[in-house]
Amino acid sequence: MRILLVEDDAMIGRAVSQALRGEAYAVDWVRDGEAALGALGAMPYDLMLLDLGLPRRDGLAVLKEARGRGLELPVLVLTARDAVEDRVAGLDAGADDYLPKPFDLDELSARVRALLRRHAGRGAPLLEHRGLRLDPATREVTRGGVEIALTAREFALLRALLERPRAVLSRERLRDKLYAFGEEVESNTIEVYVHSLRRKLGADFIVTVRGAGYRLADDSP
Amino acid sequence: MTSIRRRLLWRLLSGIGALLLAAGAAVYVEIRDEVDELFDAQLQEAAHAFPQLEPSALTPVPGRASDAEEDTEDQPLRGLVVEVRRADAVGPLYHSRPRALLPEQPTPGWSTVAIAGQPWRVFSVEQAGRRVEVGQPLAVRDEAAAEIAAQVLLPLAAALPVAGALLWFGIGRGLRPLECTAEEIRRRSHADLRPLPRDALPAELAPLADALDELMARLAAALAAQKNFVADAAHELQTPLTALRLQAQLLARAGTEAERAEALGELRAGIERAIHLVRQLLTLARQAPERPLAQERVDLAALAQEAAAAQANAAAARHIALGVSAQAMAAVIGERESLRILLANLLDNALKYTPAGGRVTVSVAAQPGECTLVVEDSGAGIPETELARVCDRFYRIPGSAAPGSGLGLAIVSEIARRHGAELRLARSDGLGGLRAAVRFPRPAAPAAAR
Repeated sequence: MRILLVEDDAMIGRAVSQALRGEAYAVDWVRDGEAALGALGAMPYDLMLLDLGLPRRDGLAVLKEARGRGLELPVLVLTARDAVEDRVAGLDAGADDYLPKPFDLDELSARVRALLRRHAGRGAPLLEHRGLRLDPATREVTRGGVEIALTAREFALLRALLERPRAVLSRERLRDKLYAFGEEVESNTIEVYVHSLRRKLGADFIVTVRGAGYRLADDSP
Repeated sequence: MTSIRRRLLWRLLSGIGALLLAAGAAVYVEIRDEVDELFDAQLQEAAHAFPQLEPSALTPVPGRASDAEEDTEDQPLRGLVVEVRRADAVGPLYHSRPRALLPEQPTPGWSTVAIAGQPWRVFSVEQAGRRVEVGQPLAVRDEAAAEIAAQVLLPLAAALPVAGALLWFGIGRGLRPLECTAEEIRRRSHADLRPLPRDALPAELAPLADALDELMARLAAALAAQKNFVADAAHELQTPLTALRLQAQLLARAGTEAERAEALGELRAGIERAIHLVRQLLTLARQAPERPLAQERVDLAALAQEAAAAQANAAAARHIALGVSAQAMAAVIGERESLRILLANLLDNALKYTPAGGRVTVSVAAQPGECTLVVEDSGAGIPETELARVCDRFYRIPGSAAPGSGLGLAIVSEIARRHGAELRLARSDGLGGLRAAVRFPRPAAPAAAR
């Protein structure tokens, strides 16, 4: 899951991106409206966290522009402007949710998960496939009640596959979901993580589609 | 406290009194003239009547001592005195008083003579060998005139207290709109700063109402500014507080010692930032225009040296060359503590926006009549389009990397304004960054201090 964080305050931006990285999201943090639009054009993000009081281009303008381009990613607005009319304006401009400052990290995480879930068309908080259960909130993966220990990257890769169980995801797409800009990426890194996931979950859990990428094995065990 | 009612009454009554006195004097003069004419006619008539009488009718000759008309010195004569003499002989043929009083050789016709120290009016006529003199003390006429004048004027004077009472109530009635306006103001809440209603207001009160309205408008503007400032300040506090909350949560989540140390560092920086913002807010609040400004004699040169010394470590840590060029004496009149804050803020700004290895200079120059403090840096400067706004409260240049409250330059410009100084921001020709110049008016002579 790759998240675009648009926040002009250095301390808040640092804290939020650090917290989300700790939850195995890839976070790109930009500090003004123009940069946000640039990033949205360059990368398919799964979610945007948007501050409204931004330099160069106001948050609402960014939101309208993004929706105008046909981008459908969920947008969570973070702002100190918490008057009712501000919230209404934000939601009407295309925001999916609204979190007034000062907010709580746990609440932020929960709202991010809820937005991702809703966007994927799921109601249930847990991701399940062939007896495997992934809890995005606790970041626990279990099978038959037994916990399977995963690293943050392995967890992120598995979550990406479980989000769209029938889709084939290319290596590049997966890499984009795992790594933010500026993070070191080895060329065969996705293969390495797929390999270790197969070792932990069973060799047939992830199927290689030659020339296209990876997908989960069919539902029937 | 003076009372309009009492003062008006006093002025009106004394005016009326003076008018009555003047009228009295005029009436007296007029009546006195009339009395003269009347009595003169009487004298003349009496004088002409006497020669027609038989000589025998003029007895008693040597003077008749009438008991009733006994002449005394202290009882002045009231009526006419008639004396008849032969034209060619000395000694009167007849005198109406026990003694002859009138002159032996009178001027024919009218004359005014002094008899026993009193002015008398005398008419003398010669006819048929007899000289008739008729005389009368002028005091009689004065008294008569005074009496008549008094009879005319006394009733008017008696009406004066009545006029006073009428005026007292009349003025009171006239001043009632003042009471109503006062009541209208008294009934208002502190937030009701609308203009006063004009419909019932007399024209005389309009200037006062205008002045009050103007004061209330200024008050409303000040209140609105205060309200905005509080709202802005609360809004601005949200950001550092949000950061603090997040940083504290990250600290709680930290799993390793290294993560904990980093989170703690961030939290400390967040606390510093919040403290800085609150401190700047307090500083700005203390520069409120209604607070009186201390009038100390402050040497800007010495103050600049101090301020530079205080920031020397911060400058050295980032290899910034911090130079001071200040004349020996550059005294201005003002508040030392505020001027120290002004300098500290300008220096702080310059150091913050100057990259490592850059230069910051402070200079103080004294000219006759003014004194200029300049802080220049080799940083990126402020774009032309932003210069007008950087002194606004809470305004930060979009995308500026250095942390700040957005109040530093607002504080500087407020302090400058209170000192009657002019703050000018421009591009530094020498160093390429920002040039902040504050021009102070200077005391004409050292004696002007204090």
